[in-house]
Amino acid sequence: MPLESVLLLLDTSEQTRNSDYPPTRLHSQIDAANYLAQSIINGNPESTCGVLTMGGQPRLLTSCTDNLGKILNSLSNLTHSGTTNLPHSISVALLALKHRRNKNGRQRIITFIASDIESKEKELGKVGKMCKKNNVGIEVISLVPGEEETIKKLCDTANSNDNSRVVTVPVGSLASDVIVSSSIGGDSGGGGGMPMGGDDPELAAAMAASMSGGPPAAASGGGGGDGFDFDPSMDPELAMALRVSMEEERRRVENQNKTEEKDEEKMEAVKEEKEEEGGEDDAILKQALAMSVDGGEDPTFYEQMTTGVSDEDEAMQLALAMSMAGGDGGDEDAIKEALMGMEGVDEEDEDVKRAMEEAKKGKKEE
Amino acid sequence: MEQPAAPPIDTSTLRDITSLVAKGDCYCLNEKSSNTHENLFQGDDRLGLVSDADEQLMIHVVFNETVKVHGLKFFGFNTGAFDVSTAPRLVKVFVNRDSMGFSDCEDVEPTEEFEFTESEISNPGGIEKTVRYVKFQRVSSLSIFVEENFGGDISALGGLKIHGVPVQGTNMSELKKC
Repeated sequence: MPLESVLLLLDTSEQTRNSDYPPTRLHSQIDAANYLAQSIINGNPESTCGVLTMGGQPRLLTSCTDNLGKILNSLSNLTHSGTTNLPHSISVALLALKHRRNKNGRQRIITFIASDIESKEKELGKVGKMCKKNNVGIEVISLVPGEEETIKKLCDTANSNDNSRVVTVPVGSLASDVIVSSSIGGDSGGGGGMPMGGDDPELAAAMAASMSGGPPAAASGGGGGDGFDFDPSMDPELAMALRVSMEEERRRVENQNKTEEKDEEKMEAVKEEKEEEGGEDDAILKQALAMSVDGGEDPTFYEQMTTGVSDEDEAMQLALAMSMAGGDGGDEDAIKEALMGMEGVDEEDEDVKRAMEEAKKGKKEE
Repeated sequence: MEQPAAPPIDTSTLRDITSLVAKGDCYCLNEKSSNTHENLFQGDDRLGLVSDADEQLMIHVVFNETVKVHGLKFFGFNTGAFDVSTAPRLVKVFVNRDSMGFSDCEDVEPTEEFEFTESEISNPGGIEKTVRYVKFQRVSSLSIFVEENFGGDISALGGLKIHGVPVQGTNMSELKKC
């Protein structure tokens, strides 16, 4: 968090006895102020914080200090008195901020409004402009229903470089809970023109990421550290680290679940495939086995092997017979020549001789 | 009895002491966040200081050693977006006032007061105003209050140069730990 000087303005008018904000409007403010003072002073070693009460006459209880004990002490014994004069109180606060110790860093006025605003709009506009001229941001925490418009006008007048904002606490809820999850409580970005802190985009992104999961839990858990047993305001860095790591863990678990589901699907698919493949294999195997068992007695195979040879001989004889028969009285020499031309046919072969003789006999019979 | 004439000021040692400004300690009230007082000392009148809420400006200049100030040189904001109506007209200077604010200006007598004419401030070379040297003999900070301009909604200032001479002494910021 950047270096800053903050003044907390508490509404201590008689109207803050109202208990529509539990326990009362005043005590709700005190609770929130405790939290804010802690987060401001722990945010930066040189940040300072002061306390001013607005009931009756504005009273500066603690000028800007980094001594948290002093602030908490001044917050511990507040009494109700009179009505609130907002413009007057803000100009006193401006004066108190002007004489702050460390001139560097931005200036903020955090004001609680818990009673009806009786001042004229003109006066409020004037004081808002004064804030703007002095580079002081105004942040209003509203605990009073029905004054939204006036408050918004004041903030709009004072706003320069997004350093002023309004947080409206809904009736019945605790102010500190709302602030924890608002931009005032944690790292309120923007404003101040300080070139340090808050400008780190990665940090901002991380904060945003962690905040996206954070606020509901923080709001319901009374500002607890997201289920951890420690005060996040005491060590904001640790709180942030925890938030970020929890976010990462959650994402990791989600991813894991997804991948596990995918793995299961994959496994099933593979199993089915295997079964199918196994069936095919079995069929082939069976076939092979059957073949190897009765392959020796396979009749077709032997037929193929034997017919090849016998066919040749028969064809030869047939051809010879035909030629003998066809050739009208064909001389032996011609046949011999033909036979000689045929490869692998021996003139002296018994079969051939027999065929020749048969052919001769047939001729004679004719 | 005739008063002896004041010895003439030795102008040969005068120089630009803008470099002696402790920039980290300076501040400006009512400045626009996009045009801050840091632009004043850049030496470029295309960069400048622009006011935000109204026409007033409070420029607080701190020196890192005590100086004697002889003159202040103001430059107009030399861009088309800002015409002469935004140029400062009435400027008040306060010496050695810590944490000056706008409300203090009404209560405190200014050490020096300048009033510019339109032709003076629109001079591209800037306009140099000499101060009453006797009142600026031990200056550690200057608060320059731009009270009025020539009728514009906001004020713009292009640059600022301070002429003077350092009072011989130790520059604390140059000391280093052994």
